[in-house]
Amino acid sequence: MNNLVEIKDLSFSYGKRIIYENVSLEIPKGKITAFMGPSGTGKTTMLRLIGGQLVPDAGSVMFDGINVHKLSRPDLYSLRRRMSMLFQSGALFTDLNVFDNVAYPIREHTKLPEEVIRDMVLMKLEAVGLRGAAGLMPHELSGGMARRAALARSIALDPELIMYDEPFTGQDPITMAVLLRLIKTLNRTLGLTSVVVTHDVSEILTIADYAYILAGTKVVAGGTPEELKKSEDPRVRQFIKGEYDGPVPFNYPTEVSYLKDL
Amino acid sequence: MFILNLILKLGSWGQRRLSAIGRATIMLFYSLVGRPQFRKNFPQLIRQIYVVGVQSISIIVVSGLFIGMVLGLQGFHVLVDFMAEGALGQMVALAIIRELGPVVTALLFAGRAGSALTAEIGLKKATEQLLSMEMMAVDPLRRVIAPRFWAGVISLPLLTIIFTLVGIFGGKLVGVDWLGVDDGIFWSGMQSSIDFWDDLMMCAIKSVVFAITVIWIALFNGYDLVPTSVGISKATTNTVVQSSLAVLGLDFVLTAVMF
Amino acid sequence: MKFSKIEFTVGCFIVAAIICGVLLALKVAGLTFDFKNDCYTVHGYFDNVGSLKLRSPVKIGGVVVGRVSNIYVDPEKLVPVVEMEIQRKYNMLSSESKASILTAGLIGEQYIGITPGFYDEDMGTTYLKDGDRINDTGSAIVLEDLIGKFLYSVNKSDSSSESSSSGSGDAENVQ
Repeated sequence: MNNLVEIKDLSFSYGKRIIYENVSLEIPKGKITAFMGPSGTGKTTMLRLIGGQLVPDAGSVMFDGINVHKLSRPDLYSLRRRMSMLFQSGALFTDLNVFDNVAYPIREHTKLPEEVIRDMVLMKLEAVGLRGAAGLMPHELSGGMARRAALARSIALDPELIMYDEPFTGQDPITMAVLLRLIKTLNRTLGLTSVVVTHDVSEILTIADYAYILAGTKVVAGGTPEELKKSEDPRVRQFIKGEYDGPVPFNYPTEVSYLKDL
Repeated sequence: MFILNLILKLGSWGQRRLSAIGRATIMLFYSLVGRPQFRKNFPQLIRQIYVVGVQSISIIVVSGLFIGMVLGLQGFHVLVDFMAEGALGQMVALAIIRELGPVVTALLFAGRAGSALTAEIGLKKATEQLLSMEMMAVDPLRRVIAPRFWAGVISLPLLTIIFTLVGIFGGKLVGVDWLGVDDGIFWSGMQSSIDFWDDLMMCAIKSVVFAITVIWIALFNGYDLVPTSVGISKATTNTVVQSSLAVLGLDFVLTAVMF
Repeated sequence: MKFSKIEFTVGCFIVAAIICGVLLALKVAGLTFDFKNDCYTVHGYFDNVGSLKLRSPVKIGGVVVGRVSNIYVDPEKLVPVVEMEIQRKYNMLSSESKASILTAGLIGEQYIGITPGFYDEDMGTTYLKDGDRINDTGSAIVLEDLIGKFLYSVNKSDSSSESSSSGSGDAENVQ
């Protein structure tokens, strides 16, 4: 199998709080991979580790055979041209309008004439259905529109890898369906590799080719949606079915027992 | 026990300060060192000079005028007792050029532009704009921090020049046009005591040093803050407090060294 | 290229600041653009330069004709030397001219006053050229010396007016 990203024995911690311990996983090329898991398990951290924004305590992240964290600063920046990330908030530049936001990476990294850039931007905006909103400022957009505009910006330079950080949070069902279809069609038509971080299990399992469940510093399970749905592992069952009681703890870990604390 | 605790606290405070200074230096280093990208950065630079420089002109002109007028009024009442009104021009010009011009402009600049820069960059950080820039393979240090730094370093000395001239004319307005000091004596007394190199250049050097200090503190506080609303408001306050103190302290040091 | 308001105002800002700077230099600091090549340099030995500074004016009858360019002590003779730049248009100064360090007013700045001397080719006098030396110099008045001399001369005779004139003219010519 052809993997774009391979993570080996990765450990990471914020100060004393351990986020990952010896995590290994692969992201296959040209497929949609989902990272699922309860809130606070550092799924976003994983994306930032892949993007080289955070440095792991141990282990390696290989992007197309290149160790991301062994690169010099300029090399890392040129590697990042091959990936892109859709942030939870969209992270559009508030001082630019939608058109200029989408044009920003093109203007930064290419020397194309302005007419070509205009055509490229309008094509990307059309792909997310926002060609009519090109002149609006980010604060005039609704949450779903902002996320779609940010998506257009993420695909502006046709990256190889696109990472979606919680793209469905706080969206109404229609927007969610639109985004799902967009992720899927972009993946198929542009042939890019997608990583989706989410806890909307049932939705993402309809489009994902492969899924990992991350919980409590470890990868709990990984497999195709069918495999996960059939899994006998109680932790997987609890998460996929959304049961409130089970082996995955709901409470923030504490050293003092509840009885003693009272 | 209490003393031990105090020493420990002092130690950790010092450690945090030192590491902050280290981070600030690294930030400045990465934003300024490297191949310059004039084509991309120049429009940004113009825009930032507009934001930090042009938009500060009104406050600079108004405060310069009033400070000059007050100096003229106060100076006149003191000097008239010694029958030395002729030295009014000299007094106003010396006070403004050597001290008030660079210092007051830098303080106003820290309040007007420095705090705004901190808040702007902090907000960019809180809304993940800086992170998303990084992921677009655009270095936010080079593209966000550097143009703002240069804009501040260019704007503040220019603002100081404007402040100084307006202040001296404010003094002249009160002294000559209102209180009746002779026009010729006012200007010639000034010219005989102000030296181009000793006074005006010192004023320029001071304002460049203050510009670097204020803008560096403002940008670092914005870049390094905790991305929450409390963090932003704290960082904005810190910018004004730290840069004011730094300007006053540096003013003493520079005056002691240069005169 | 569309007209940008921001670019325009930034341009105005910078031009305004430059104009302010030029105004400051000319009107407040009284800077005049005299260039080095318009001057010639002469020097003189003084007993005492008082509080004369670099760039102090050199005057003839109260009119500025040049500036002090250097003050140092002759390493062999251990006597203060003052170099002054005089504008080239005043090139008719005789080598017999006298340069003295004077004080503007009671507590004012010190400057060099030049009293032009006679010019007579038969007597061997020439016009001062670049690098020449002014032989006849008058040192700065040191107030303590002056008072000492005044007391001395009062004791000796009643001619106090003579003593004050000798006080300012006591500079020996250092050869």
